Amino acid sequence: MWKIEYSKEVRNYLYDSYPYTETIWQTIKALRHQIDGLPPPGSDYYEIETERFVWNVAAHTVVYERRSDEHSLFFAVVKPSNDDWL
Amino acid sequence: MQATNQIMTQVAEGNGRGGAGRGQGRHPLNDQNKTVRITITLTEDDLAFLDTIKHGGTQTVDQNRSAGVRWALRAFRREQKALLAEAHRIKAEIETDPLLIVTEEELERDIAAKVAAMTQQAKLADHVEN
Repeated sequence: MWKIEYSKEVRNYLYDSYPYTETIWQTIKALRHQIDGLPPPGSDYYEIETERFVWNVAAHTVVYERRSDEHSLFFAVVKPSNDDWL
Repeated sequence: MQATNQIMTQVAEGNGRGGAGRGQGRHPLNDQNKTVRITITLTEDDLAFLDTIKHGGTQTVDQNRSAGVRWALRAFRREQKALLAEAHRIKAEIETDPLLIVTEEELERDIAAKVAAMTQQAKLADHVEN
């Protein structure tokens, strides 16, 4: 099982907007059960840099880092997909 | 999926930078000046959306689609750049201050406390109403 960690920004977003963030939070947490630490087959994701992934899921854009040596997944960015932040 | 194949064929049959005539399309060249085939996957819904784009007065559907694909690619690059910049900024911050990393257990605990507070508040409100 992978260890899940968050940046302060992600933590604050998930916490402050809870319970509206319940779905995305549970989806992120479910990743710890994936053997390779990657989203399930058929998911909308790509590797933007080595061991860093962008995952479009549950109406959010998620950026996370897979640290195989520590067997952890670090979630750096979680943003609502429809948010006009770019 | 026929429409998807149509678009991919157009991308593959471009004549290359500089040599393309108007309306024939261009596609990317590598260091050796050879054309490079790129893969762009468009769904039926994507194509239907691109058909609705209006740019100029009398453009054909195909021209509208080309413009739509270019805009979509630019938006995708812009998004990638912004996401990477943010991920790098956060990585730099946690390297100087590892306390900025929050564990799953900490978040679980905080949210459980928030849920408990919300439940308590709801009970109080209920009590006042009754």
